[in-house]
Amino acid sequence: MNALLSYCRSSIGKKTIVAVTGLLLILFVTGHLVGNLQFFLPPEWINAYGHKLQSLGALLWVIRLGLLAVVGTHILATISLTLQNRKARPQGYAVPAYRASTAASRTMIVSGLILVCFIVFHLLHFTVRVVPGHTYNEEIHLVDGTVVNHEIGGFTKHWGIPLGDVPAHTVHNVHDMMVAGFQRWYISAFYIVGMFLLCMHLSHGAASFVQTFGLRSRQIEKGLTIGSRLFAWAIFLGYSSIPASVLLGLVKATGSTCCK
Amino acid sequence: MHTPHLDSKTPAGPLESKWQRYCFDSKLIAPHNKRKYKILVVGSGLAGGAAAATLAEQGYAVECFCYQDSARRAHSIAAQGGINAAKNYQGDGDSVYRLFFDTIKGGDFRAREANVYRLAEVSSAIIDQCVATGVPFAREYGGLLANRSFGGSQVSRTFYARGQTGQQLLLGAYSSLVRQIGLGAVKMFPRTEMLDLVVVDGHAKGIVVRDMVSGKVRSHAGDAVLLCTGGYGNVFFLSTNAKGCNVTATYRAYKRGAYFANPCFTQIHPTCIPVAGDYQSKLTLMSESLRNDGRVWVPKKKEDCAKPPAQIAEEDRDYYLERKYPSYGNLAPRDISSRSAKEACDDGRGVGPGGLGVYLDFADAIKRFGEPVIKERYGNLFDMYERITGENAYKQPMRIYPAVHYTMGGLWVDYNLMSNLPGLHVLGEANFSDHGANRLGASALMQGLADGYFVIPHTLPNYLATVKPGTVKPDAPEFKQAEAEVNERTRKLLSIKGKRTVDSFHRELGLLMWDKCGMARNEAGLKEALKRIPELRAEFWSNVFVPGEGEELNQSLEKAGRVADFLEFGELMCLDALTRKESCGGHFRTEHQTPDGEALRDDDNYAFVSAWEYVQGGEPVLHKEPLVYENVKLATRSYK
Amino acid sequence: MHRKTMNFTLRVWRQKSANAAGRFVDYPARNIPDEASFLEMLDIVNEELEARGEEPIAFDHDCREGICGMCSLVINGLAHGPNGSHATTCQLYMRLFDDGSTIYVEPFRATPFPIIKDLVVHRAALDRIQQAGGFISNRTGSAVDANANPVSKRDADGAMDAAACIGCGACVAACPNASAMLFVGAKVTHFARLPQGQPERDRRVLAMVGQMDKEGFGNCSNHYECEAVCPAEIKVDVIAHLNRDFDIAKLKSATVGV
Repeated sequence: MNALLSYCRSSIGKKTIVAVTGLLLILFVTGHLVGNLQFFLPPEWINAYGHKLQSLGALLWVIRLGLLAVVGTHILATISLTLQNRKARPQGYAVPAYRASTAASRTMIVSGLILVCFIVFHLLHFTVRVVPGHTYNEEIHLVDGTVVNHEIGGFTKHWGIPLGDVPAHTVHNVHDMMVAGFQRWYISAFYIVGMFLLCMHLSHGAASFVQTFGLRSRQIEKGLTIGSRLFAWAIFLGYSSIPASVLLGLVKATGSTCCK
Repeated sequence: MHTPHLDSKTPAGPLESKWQRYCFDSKLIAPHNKRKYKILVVGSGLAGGAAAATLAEQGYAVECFCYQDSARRAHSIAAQGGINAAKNYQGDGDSVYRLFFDTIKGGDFRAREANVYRLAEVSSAIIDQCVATGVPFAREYGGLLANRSFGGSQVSRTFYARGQTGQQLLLGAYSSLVRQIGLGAVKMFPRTEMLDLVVVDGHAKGIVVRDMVSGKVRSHAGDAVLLCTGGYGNVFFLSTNAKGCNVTATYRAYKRGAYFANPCFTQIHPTCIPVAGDYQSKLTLMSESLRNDGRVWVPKKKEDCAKPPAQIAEEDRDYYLERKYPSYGNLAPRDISSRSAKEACDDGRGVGPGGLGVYLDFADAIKRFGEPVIKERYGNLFDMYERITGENAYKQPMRIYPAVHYTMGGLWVDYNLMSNLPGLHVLGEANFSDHGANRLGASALMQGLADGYFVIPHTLPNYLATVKPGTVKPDAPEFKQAEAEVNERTRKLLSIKGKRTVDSFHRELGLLMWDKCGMARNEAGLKEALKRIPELRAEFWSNVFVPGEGEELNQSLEKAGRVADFLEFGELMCLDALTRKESCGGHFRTEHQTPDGEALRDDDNYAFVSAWEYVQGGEPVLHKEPLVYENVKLATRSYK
Repeated sequence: MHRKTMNFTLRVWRQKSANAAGRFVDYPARNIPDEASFLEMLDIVNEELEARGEEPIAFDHDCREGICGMCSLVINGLAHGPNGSHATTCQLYMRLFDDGSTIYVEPFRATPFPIIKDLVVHRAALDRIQQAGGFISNRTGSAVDANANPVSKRDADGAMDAAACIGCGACVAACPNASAMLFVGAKVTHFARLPQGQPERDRRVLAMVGQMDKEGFGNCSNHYECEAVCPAEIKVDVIAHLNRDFDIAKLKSATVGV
């Protein structure tokens, strides 16, 4: 225990915490995107996906709290590192000049903290669904009075996994909620800006954790830099495509009768 | 001439077994007594760093001083080429005796046989020691150590770490030193300059230093003082030495009674980047290895000198080293190549600014091997040359000129590395002992580490065993007296408030020394210098301007103190050069040369070490230590 | 003989002593030969200051050939200045600057490098890190034959790449976080790649990182500014090496002991 504590207090230990939590968040962001991109498939896909997640019950809360802990640790460790860094260089140079670092690498704490605000909004928007001015009338009414087992709109499986019981008469129409949610341009713009910050954050972070784990070398240096940037842009394009396509009218609400 | 002080204390017996017998006969200090002895080590280069680390490891209480901000920055760090050792890893017939012979011959037979033999003998252990401390010497694919050859020998015995051998060896010694600092066995005093030696009852018992940050002057008492303070090449102002290198420690010791030996033996390195202008602060050496592929030439006709080199036809070029020394050609030893460059320039055929340069041309080598091969061999040197001069040496020949590089002279020491002042030991470049009148390449690193790692730890106990530890404290009257003198000198320097800067005096002295006591000397010139130096010194003490205060970081004051000593020391150098009426190694007297311009040694009259004794208010007194050669036959060096 | 001269305005950080307040002061640098090095330019300015009876600008320097690591300075925001190739301030030449330009000259700034005067800083923190473990413990004279343990050329070269560090501290000065990881990484990698360095490998990395943290350096956040200014061309690979060795050593110290 003592060893763990002293490790966590050391410079490299703290960095490793940031790298480990960062890697977990990268995995989450990637998974979340893959899930979200079902938006472009027939609505049953994403609705079934949403239902599947909702039906995890206690496990869902474990995952949610786990994610929260990961994010929290990531933030606490980086804030602690940043405070130490500021203390080590209280006075900057009169004309700062840079050769190797990027705007992304130098603004990690800024992009990170804005992303925290983004996450809070995003949760309020789509998870808690309390953003004022929104109506959340996007429930799908299944066949009246009939309990449909093991099926949503003809889906019995999602990604090969059986849906199991669909206990209610209605499921959440995630698809239309997203369409409704992105109809307002300023909300979409906020999301796209948020995703750009995420892109910046990842373009540095996705290569950084490899270095912190001690796995970077001269041989993979170039590939790693390019790879992390490509990855970051892919995440940006993937996420931004959803609000963009709604704004451009490429994807429209299906209405609650879709599954009849 | 009977000089009882100059007993070299060379052990009797055959050359090959002197050192072993010496070690066997040495007195030992019991482990529990060692910590009672305090050793003051001044300088943290190869000699000082290695000595401080080893003595501390053996149990002595060591204090180590350096003027740089860290022990790791001593100027040993700048050595490029390599370190010699008689390992015979190449199986090319090397041996301790061969290394000994090459070194003594390279020194033009002006070094002490027994010292040089010991140096060759311990050379092998140095390599073992360095590898064990983690020095990353170059290796072959099989994992064994690689060697290269160097000037003045026919075997391949030089170990190297790229072009940074000195750096790696110093960092090796430094790592051993910091280990002892961490253990509390060495107290390190960086940014601390020694300003005087304290002698009590005829024994060196301490030093007076100035803390260069606070400006405070204080005393350190010890049971022995080791001066490892390097050479005095900066008397010439322009040299390849670091800017801070100075003669103060050894010169102060000289003024306290230690003899200064062979001060006129200075080495001029042939391959340096020429002086570009009078603002220049330092000369940069380029590895001698360049001469393996570069051809040295100047135009045959004076009127061609201003032309771009490409426009000078082949038949109008004088490849003078190949012409004069057909068998060694461009690889002639340092002193000879340097002097030949000077002759060409004196003849009005020098190239570049001020006509002080010769071409080192790689065109033939590039034609023969292709640019990639040359780049592979010397890429970093070509880059450095371009950075400094702005010229691309792949397209046009380099310009080179000789520069002061190393000083063979130094405080006189006996076989124990102890000066005539009991307790005062002198190691590395600061002493005079092993290189005679000319040092071979890759031998300076060898000597510094030999002295520090392997010689002094065996010889110092012989002195310590004769003294009771800790008898003198820094509050003794001798210390107070020395401190007062140091403070008075500082006060005086600061109070002159004249019109000229310290550097302007240093430049003037340097130029004078270079002209009169540089690559070639003669009686008239030396006498002129001996007249001019006291005048310059008098002007310095009446017209120098040293700004700032004593009790703060004051770099002008530091320089002023050093230049003041150079202004006295330069005179001693010229006096020594004047007295030595022969040519040998780095000391070339124009009156003493063969008809074809080669150095003419006079073994009948000058086979001795000149050891100068300071006399307050009078001429220094010359003591001679005869050089007795029992094993080698004195011969004329020929590289024709 | 051809001699181009240039003029500059120097905006130099002047600070009388460690605790005094510092400020920028402008000095003209006139008729500077374009072949002069940056330090020679400062020499010229200092000579003029002295000639006017003013105190010269204090700056650290020694070998002036790029190897001792004594010279420092942040010039126009860059540690060791705007050198195209990797080099120290003493090997920076005035021809690289625009004639007539204003040049900012500042000390290396980092809490573990307190300013002594003007542009001179204390870098003893780096020495203390090395004291903590940057060595191989062996007694003088006890070494085995140098060829007894072959070292692959790859490892010898890798060790040499790291050992080339000149300890100037530019990595710290250039790092936006004032981290010393490149320096510590270089030392750790140098010894870790040699067989002689193995017995103390774990203890060394733990001790050196411990001391580094104690000194108050910042943390590496992979900006790689250090690599970009390093005059010895030390690569950030050594930081990866350091991270790896530290993690392993910590794990070992918690389990089997080091």
